[in-house]
Amino acid sequence: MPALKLDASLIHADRADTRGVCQIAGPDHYMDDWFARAADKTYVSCDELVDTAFFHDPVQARMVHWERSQTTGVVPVAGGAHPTSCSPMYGFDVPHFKAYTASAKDEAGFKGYLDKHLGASEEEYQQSVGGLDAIRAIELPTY
Amino acid sequence: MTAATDYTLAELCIVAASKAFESDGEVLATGIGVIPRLAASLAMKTTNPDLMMTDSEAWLLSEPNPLGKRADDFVPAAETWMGFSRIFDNVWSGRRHAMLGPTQIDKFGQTNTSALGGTYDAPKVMMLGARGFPGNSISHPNSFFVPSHNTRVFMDGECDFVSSVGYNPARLPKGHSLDDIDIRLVVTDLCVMDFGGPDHQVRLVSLHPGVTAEQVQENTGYPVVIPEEVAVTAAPTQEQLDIIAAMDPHNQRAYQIKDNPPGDRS
Repeated sequence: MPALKLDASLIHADRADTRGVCQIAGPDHYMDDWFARAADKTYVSCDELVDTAFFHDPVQARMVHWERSQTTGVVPVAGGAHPTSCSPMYGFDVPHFKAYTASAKDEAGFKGYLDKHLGASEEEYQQSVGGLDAIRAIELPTY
Repeated sequence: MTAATDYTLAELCIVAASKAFESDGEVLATGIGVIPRLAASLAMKTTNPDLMMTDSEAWLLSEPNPLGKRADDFVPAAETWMGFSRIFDNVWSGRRHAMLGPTQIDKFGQTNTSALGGTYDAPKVMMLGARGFPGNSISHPNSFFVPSHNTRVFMDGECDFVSSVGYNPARLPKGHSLDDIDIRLVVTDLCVMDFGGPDHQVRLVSLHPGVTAEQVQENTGYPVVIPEEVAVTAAPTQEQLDIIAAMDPHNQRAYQIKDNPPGDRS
């Protein structure tokens, strides 16, 4: 099967520095490293922007799953994984997913969802879902 | 061990499904859904301690986790990091046996977890998707659990969308033979079946107490090979029931089969 060639990957990491060293501190980074490698451009949002020295601790550097040459750009967006999770910081927002899924059967459909949540900025989006503190308070899932 | 007399159909199915894993040796058992997961857990704790299981997230465990919320001081018995990406490394090795509940299973053992009705571009119902099932079904053994045995699941004709490879010569991938396909047990609320009939036809293995072969055939949209002698599915032992209860402290198993009927319906 031929490889899927991605134009761009959008990834959320726990922490990153300005040169694109990205840390995923949850127990699973899933296929994020493959996404970073598969795409021409990889843009990473992170919950926390850190100084490069943060990674001088090998325990922290061990949770970096691709080299910075694979990262095109980094933007700090605290809570930026919402409605998905950024383990171990916060879990995924199940009621939000349910509302999103239910919108498929609403009269207003996807547009209704967009109107309700997607404002002009990330700030407006986060306010529409209860704010950053609420996002960070979402419990991690139990499997 | 003496058989228990008071047990639910869900518990009977868990014990019957655990048999799928007992001769597997050291493979990754992936039970998707409450009954398959409890079946794999029971096998790991009794008949096949060599089984490997994950915490459904990112670690292999040397002891399966109980289902649902656990006490704050609970420490999972992690033994190996096993992130999602590594599952694929395991799949290609073939050292895995998955059990899950497809929405359709046709006479070839092909299954559908993707879409029902309509067209490919606009199905009537979108489901989970084929996900890893194509690769799983050509790489390692798979078993199925069906909580409601009827002709919508075991339907006439071919699946609306084929998510996993079955014993259908017309759809075999290049370079493969039917011997590469390994469908093990099909455990339902009526019986246990396999694909061990002539030309890989579905075959009755055992009937749950109080169920007849006629009932199984009536609820299956294609012929079921019915041997002259059909066993009754073995009732759980008290030891098995105790292990199941410990692995499922919130009794999620009571909600897996409609109305949670007793195991013996005779």
